[in-house]
Amino acid sequence: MSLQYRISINNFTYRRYSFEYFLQSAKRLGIGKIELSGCHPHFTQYEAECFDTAALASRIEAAGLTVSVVDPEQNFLPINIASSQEYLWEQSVETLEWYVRNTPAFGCDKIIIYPGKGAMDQAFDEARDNAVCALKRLCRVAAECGVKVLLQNVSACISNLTTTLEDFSTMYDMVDDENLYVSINTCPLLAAGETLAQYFNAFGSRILNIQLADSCEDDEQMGIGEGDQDFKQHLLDLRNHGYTGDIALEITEEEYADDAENYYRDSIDAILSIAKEV
Amino acid sequence: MRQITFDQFGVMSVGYQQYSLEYCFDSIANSGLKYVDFWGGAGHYCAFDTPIGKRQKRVQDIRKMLDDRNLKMSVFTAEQLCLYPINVASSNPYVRKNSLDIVKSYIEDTKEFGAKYYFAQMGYSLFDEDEEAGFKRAVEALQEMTEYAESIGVKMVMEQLQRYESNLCYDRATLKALIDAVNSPYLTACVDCVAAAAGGETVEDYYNAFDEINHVHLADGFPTGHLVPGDGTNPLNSYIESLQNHDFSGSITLEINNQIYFDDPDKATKRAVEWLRKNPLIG
Repeated sequence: MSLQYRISINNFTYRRYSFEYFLQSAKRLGIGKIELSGCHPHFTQYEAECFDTAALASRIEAAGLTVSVVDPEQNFLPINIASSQEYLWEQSVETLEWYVRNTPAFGCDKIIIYPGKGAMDQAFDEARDNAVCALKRLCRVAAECGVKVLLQNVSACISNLTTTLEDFSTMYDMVDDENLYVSINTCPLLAAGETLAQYFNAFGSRILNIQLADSCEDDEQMGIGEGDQDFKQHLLDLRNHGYTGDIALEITEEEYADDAENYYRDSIDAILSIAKEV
Repeated sequence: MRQITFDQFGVMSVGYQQYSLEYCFDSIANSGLKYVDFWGGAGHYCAFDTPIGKRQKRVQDIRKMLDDRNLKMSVFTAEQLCLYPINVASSNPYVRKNSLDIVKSYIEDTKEFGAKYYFAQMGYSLFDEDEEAGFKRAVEALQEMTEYAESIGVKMVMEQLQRYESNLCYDRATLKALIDAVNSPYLTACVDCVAAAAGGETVEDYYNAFDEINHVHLADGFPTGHLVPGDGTNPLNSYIESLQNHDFSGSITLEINNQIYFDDPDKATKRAVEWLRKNPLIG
């Protein structure tokens, strides 16, 4: 399948537009898949007393789009599975369980879970233990729903828990659940001086989602070509490791929100152009 | 002309979001600053991390933490539309009502904290919605918030945002339109120097537009970035001179809010304080 049909875009960048606008924009961009962000005002428990998931799924289907993965917003929204605050931790896990249970409604069997974040003046192990405990619970609930949990690597500005392959692997091993898989975002890789190839060597076919975004020392989730990432190498790594799964363009930098479609168009053009070279 | 003094400055606690609140307040107190512009977000305090039944106790605990360190709260800046699902101008009645309920509880907290101001936000309409209707909803919400704030004796300030944050208030003209429409002494202007610089505006422009400015957000940038003073290229001293020329006696928040400082906000605050101490304009 050509790259055009494998890549997805994320509605988080369109959070200042209606969901309908996002769906029509995806069609205008020639995209067939979306990474469904659980973000406000599109898909959270804050939108209604009882969110109508079936209606949202119908709208996506009617637009001729499929959901590659459900990605509950866990950076902007007050969700933190590594928190030592009992109430926040429980609320976070319950919220993510809600997303897990709703994932099959979209004909989708994958959900992305962030590692949460520990306070920098808190013991690292304590925060990681909180996250592992939450992930074990989420993996159990997800298995009951036929959903795979994808642990996401994130940068230090989001979490101190999985900034390197070593820390990511440790958390993955601590959860030790057959239902735990991997989603890789390229921004933390550059920050850690690591490569997609290293993650493929470590996790192989357990990697079920790739998020491509550009980044530099001071910023990330930027449009393709705006930062320092080597996308030619990323695409080569994907090809060399026989990766045939989903690829999301995670162009979610905050300031793109007022012109999401044009930022995405530029990035789609850029990645397709690089793909031709590869 | 009134010289701006060091005691007018505080720092926003948002930069400490990856640290505990105890660490945050210790750091700010040790820096010598007197004011905290308290960020209401998960991990420190917000409607989403504290059960309703424990809210009052948590607010009292935070007040005591401030008192113990001889700190004062200049503004309670609860996270609202930029990150959280709080939009008082939403076209979704459920979201709008929940948002207003939360904001009213924050206004009550502002009084308990002993803060000078609650940091009001106007919400936004979606870019593909009718903007005029959104403006009307924003005014109605701000009027409701203002009436409630006045009833319990809390004053509010409001700033312009950037357009990707709110299409209803992104420069001095849109800020003035909202504040004039509400027309209450309990809702006055705050100038965000970074957003002003991004929009090609100056502090003087805001004085020309508003009768009263009660609070200022100061940070450096290129022109955006919310950086430590000195780390960017924004003309901070010209802003300070404008404030002096207008005898500004209100509070000023160093709004250092950039992820490049999140791993060591203590160092960022200390560098900002050093910039203030060495600045001949600051008394």
